[in-house]
Order: sequence, then C-alpha cells, then structure tokens
Amino acid sequence: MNQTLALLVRAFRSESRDIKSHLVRGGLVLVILLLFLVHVSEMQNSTAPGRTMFQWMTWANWALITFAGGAVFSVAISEETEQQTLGLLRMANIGPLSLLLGKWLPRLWVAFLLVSAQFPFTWLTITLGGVSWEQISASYMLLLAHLFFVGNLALFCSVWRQDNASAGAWTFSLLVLWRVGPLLLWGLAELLAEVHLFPQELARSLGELVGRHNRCTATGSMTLDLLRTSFSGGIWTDQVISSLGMGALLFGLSWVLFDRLTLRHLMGGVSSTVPLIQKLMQGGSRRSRRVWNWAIGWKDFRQVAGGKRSIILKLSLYALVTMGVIAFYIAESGSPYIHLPEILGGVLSWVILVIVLPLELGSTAAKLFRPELKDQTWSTLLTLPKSVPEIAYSKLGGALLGLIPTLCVLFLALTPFLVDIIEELARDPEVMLGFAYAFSVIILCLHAITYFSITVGWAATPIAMILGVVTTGATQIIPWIGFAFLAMAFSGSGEQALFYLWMMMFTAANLMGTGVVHWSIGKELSAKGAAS
Amino acid sequence: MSQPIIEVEKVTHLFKDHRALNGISFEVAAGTLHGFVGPNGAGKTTSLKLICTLLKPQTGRIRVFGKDVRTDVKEIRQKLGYMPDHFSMYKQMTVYEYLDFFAAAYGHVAKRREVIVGDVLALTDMEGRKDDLIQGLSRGMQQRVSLARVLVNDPDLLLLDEPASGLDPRARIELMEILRELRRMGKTIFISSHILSELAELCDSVTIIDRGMTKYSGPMDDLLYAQGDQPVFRLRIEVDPDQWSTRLSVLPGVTAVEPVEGKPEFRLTVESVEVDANAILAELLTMGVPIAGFQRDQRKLNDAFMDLTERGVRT
Repeated sequence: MNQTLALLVRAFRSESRDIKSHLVRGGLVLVILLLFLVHVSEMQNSTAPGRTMFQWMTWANWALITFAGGAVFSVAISEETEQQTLGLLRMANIGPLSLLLGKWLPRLWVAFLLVSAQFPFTWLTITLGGVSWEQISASYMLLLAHLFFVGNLALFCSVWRQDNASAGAWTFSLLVLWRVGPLLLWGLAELLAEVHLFPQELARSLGELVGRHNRCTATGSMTLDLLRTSFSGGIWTDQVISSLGMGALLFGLSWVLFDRLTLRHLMGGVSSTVPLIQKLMQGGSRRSRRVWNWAIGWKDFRQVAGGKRSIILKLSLYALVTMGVIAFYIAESGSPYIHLPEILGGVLSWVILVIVLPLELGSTAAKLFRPELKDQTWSTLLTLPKSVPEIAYSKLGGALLGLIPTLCVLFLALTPFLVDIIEELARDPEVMLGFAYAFSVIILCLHAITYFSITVGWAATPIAMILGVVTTGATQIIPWIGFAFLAMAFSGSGEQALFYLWMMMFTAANLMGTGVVHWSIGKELSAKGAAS
Repeated sequence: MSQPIIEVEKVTHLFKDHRALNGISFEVAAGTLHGFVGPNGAGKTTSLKLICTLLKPQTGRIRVFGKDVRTDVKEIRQKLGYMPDHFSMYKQMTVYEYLDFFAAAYGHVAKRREVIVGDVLALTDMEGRKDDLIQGLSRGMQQRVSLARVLVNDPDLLLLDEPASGLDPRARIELMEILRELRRMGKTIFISSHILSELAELCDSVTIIDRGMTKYSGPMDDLLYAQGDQPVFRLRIEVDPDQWSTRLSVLPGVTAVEPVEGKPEFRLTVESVEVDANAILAELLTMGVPIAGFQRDQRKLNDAFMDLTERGVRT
C-alpha cells in the first residue's frame, strides 16, 4: 500500500509540475469553446441548444478517451521498461499490483481532471435546455466505462510490449480488432455458408452473437442514443457493463501475467519487434537477406513499413474485408450481381479513406525519424556521404512503399466511380477547391506529426499523431470561425465569391505553413544528428 | 612527421553559453595511431564530431585530407569512418545485413559488397556470427560489428570515440589487436579513450585537451620521456640493494639518488641532458654493482595526464 502511495505521490508531483498536462486541460476547454462558437448559429435555430452542445462535448470526450487515453495509458509500464527503470522498481520490492495501481491511478486522476475542467460547460448545457440530468449522468457513466476499458487494454499492452511505440500501436490495433474483428468473421462465415462450406445455422447463431457484441462495443454511437428525447434508461447500460467487465478482466490479466511478460524485458535481449516464434525457432539467428542497392529505402521499407510480410498481411486483410462485404451483400439482397462493384467499391473506399489511409500515413510520418533518434542511429546515418535531405527522402521513399497495397486497393475500389469523380471535378470548381484544400490540410498535418515526433521527447507514435492532428485542427478552426463571421457580414450575392477566395487563401496558407514546418524538420534533423 | 591528415587550427565551439572548445589546435599525421585524451567534458566528442563533419566549426579551421570540413563534407565522409561512443545499431538486423546495408549506402554494388563484407567480417573475426541478430550479441561483439561497419567504405581515417568503454579485459585486448592490425594496413586511427595505459602502449602520438584547450599534442615518447633539464634513470639491483645506497651518490654527474619504495630500485637524477648514460653504466659495472636493469625513467601517461590537466568539475 505504501509503495502504491509512493508511486502515486511521485506521479501527482510530476503531474502538477508538468506544464503539458495543464496545457492539455486548457486545450480541451478551448476545443469545447471553439465547438460552441462554431455551432452557435445552429444552436440559435435549435429547440434544444443544450443537447446539441452536450452532444458535441460527448463526442469530443469520446475521441479524447479513445485516442489520447489509449496513448497515455499505453506507456504506463513500457516507459519504465524503455528507460530501464522497471528493474530498479522491482528491486525496491514494489510488487506488480502496486506498480500497476501506482502507474494507472494517476492517469485516471488526469482523466478525472479533464472531465472536471468541463463542468462549467455541462452546467451551461442544462441552462440552455434540451438535456436532462439523467442523460448527462448516463453519458458520463458510458464515457467512464469506455475509459476504464481503453485504459486497461492500453495498460495490458504496456505490460506486454517492451517499448512505447509498440505498446501504442498494439493498443489501437486491438481496439480496432475488438470493434470490427467479429463483424469480419461473421461476414466470412456468411460467405462460406452461402457456398455451403459453413453450416447455415452456425452462421446465423454467429450473426446473433456478433450483433450483441456490436451493441455492447458501439460506445460511440451509444452517446447519440442516450441523448434522444425518448431516453428513459438508467446509467447501467449493456455498453457500460461490458466495458467495465472487459476492463476488469484486462487489469486482472495485466496483474497475473505481469512477471511473466516483463521478465523477458528485464533479462534484455528480446526486442518487441522480432517475433517470438522466430526467436524460438532460430535462437536469435536467421538467414540474412540481400540489401537493395537503394539501401536506405530498403531499410525503411522493412523497419517503418513492415516489409514484404506487412504487404502480404495488408492484402490478406483487404481480401477478408472484401469477402465480408460480399457475404453481407449476398445475405441482405440475395443476389450477388446487381450493384455489387459499386457497393464493394464504396465500402472499401470509405474504409481506406476514412480509417486505413489516415492511420497508415500518420503512423508513417510519426515513425519515420523517431526510432532513429531514440536509438541514436541517426548520427551514424549522417556520417554517410549524403546530405540530410538525400537521407530523409530515401527514408520516406522506402516507408511509402508500404502504402502500395492500400493505394492499389483504393484505386480498384474507386474504379466504378472514376468517371463520375472526373466529371464532377471538371464541372464544379468548388469540388476542385475542396480537394486542393483537403490535400493542403493533410500535407500540413503529416508534417506536423513528423515535427512533433522528432521534437517532443515524450511523443511516441500515437501521441505524435494526436498532437499533429489537434494542432492542425486548431490552425484550421480559427480561420473558419473568421470566415463564418465575414460570411454573415457579406450575406447575399458576395458570399460565394468570398468562400472561393477564402478557400484559396487557406490552401495557400496551409502550403506555406507546410513549407515552414518542412524547413524546421530539416533543421531539427541536422541538429539532432550532431547532438546524439 | 609525415603529411598531416587532420589539421585543427584554433577552433572554438559554443553550445548556447557553454564554451565546449576554446581555441583547440593539433595535427594528426597520416598512417599513425593518435590518442585523444582529456577529462570528461573537455571537448573530445565535440572535436570528433567537428572532424567527422557532423558539426561545423564556429571559428577556426579544420582540414581533413587537406579539405575543409565546412565545404567538402561528402569528399571527407567518403574516406572517413566514425564510430561514436554509444551503440547506435539497427538491432533487428543480422550482422551481415547491417554491414551489407552500410556498404550499399556507400554506393557499392552487390558483387563488390559481398567481398567487402566478407573481408571486414574476417578482420573483426565475426564470420561465425554473421547471421546472428545484432540484439543478441554481447557488448564486445556489438563493438566489433560497429568497428566492422566503420570499415565497409575502406576509410583512410578512423575516428573512434571511446571504443573500449564498457568492454571486458578480453574484448579490450582483442579490440586493441584489431587496431594494431589496421595500423599495419596503413590506416590512420584517431582514438579517444580513458584507458591511458593501453593508449600509451598503442599510440604513436597523443593530444591531451582540457577545458576546450590543447595541453599537449605530439609524439607519445616525447610526452612520456619529457622530464625537463635533469633526466632521471632507473637502476635495478639484483642482490642486497641497501648496501649500494650511499655508494651510488659518488657516481659522476649524478646529483641525487632516491630509493624506490618496496622495490630493489633507485632513481638517479643527473646534472643535465648532456650526461652520457653509457658513462654511468660503465662506472656502475666498474664498481661491481650487480645490475638487473638500467633505463631512462619513463613517466606513466596517467602522471602526464594528471600534470597537464586541472582539478575540478567540468561543465
């Protein structure tokens, strides 16, 4: 107990001294304030302005818990492993439970402080009307349970993995798998059942089971249900119970398996990045592979993009999604022929453009230089007879090879809509401007992620991604608020022209900002090479 | 002295308000093994980074192979190998992949790389471990791989920052053997180390720096034998040394006789550098002294280092 308290006190002390946590809390309040400003006109016309605002707050909280929570909890134990202090803590007779609680509770406290920073806005939503105390307490309970689940999943990954980046990556991968894995399995079962390779009855039972799992894990959409006017339930929904149950189970697993999982890290020599099976089979040796003449590209294709194995894995996953969609389509429509390419293309494009590509691009940007700086290999690379840009772009080239499967599948998925897209682009300048603007935001965001990954010491891959997205988002929100006010002043015929002008200015500003960040990245990389 | 391969002239380097180097100057001749010594915080690593072009000198001039480190970066890097004081390796690669990767990065084609990697593996005695993952190797083995990496571009100049740090005695001795072999192959080796006894044995020349300033730079022998105007000889007597103690003071040209504590030895200080050592030895034989050894007294590098560097904490 004393040991847990000692760890807690240490964590609280560093938390209160750390400017970052105060900034994060301030940042969240600012985001809510901005959401409020952005939707002020919408709320004026709404009969329940309090509900509209609370809904936005709930979504902001849900996103924060899922992404920031996952990132923060996933480094709880792995940061000690990475800094090689875990052994020292264990030598001080601090047991697994004390360690877990000592590292877990302060983070929960941080989350509580984040929620408490929003209380004034919660009061405001009640005053504005349209949302009841019951709905508010049910929403907060749902968020708390979601935090408990995400936090414990991340804690488990933190115990299991040896470094922060790997723990973060596994946390988010398991979160996605937990949400969509059963759906994919069910899709596959339906497809196989359709061609009589799987029992129909079993596929139906699996469907019911997956449906129940889907209801329990859909915490994001549940926040919407809780705020319906027809809401009459209590705080103990299925989602809350299942999230709390899974969270407790994962905490128990982290505790029970703590020694087993961390012992290999303490013994040293076992890296998280080398599969265990490979080590068992080959005892730390394997057949050396031939390096390409494009050496740096080869290295980063393997180390950042995951190499050939990762390409095969991605293609297999896309094949699985395709089969799932086809199975679902056949099960729903009964006919495999009409509109299948469009539906399949639509689903795949949506999955790639909304989930896979942003994650792949973000993680590539975050992982491009950080491991080199962390492992101090960057200075060795800089002694090659090549300039910093030559090395950096070679690395980028190699890492981008990992996107080939995703881009190929995206191209195939978009094929049914290609003519429409081109026609739309040619016909409507607004669409073209929209594309250019979106492109400029994405490029700026990727640069921001790379910049944070090399300059912020505590920003492991997921945190660098979050910082990059939040910073870029903040730079975009403020000018759009300005536009909203200007549009009100220019309402009428000039509004469209103002919109085009504003859009072009934004795009240009984003590209200029990207140039500045790009230059700063180069400067930082040169400095870091000399410093390490 | 042969043509200098490294020329450092009045180099000053500041990190914010900390002066890491304060007008440092020295030269390293081609084909020599040059030691670089100094207390922690003296500016050794900064000097090495300047020489290997990772940093640019703020004032002063550094020339490597006669080329300026500010402008001729690629030409210098092509002929130079730098081994930092930390293990910075891609530990998920095998030894062969790691070396093949750097050989390819230096622009060698696949066939040539096979030969190069084979050669450096043989030189560092790592052929049997070529398919091992680097992360599974011991510290000494990893240091060998690091050294092998430095050799893949067949550099004329090797810059080694604390290569023996953290190694066990066997690994240290083996590393020193490899360095001797490299010197025999005509490489110039610039080595920073804290293990002074080994440097004294290994190096032809040495530079001692402290607080960013050069305290000594020149041949190792000159440093170890430099004793001012009155040289000292060391005499070892085989039988009953005490009886000779008073009789030795009558030797011609000898001004002081000092017994060495715990050893059957005497330190004989002579009047000037002009006194002939052979004449003293002849006189000792005439006197019938049972001589077991007679040699010019040599300081240890440790003593020279302590004399030349200042006490106190470096920032």
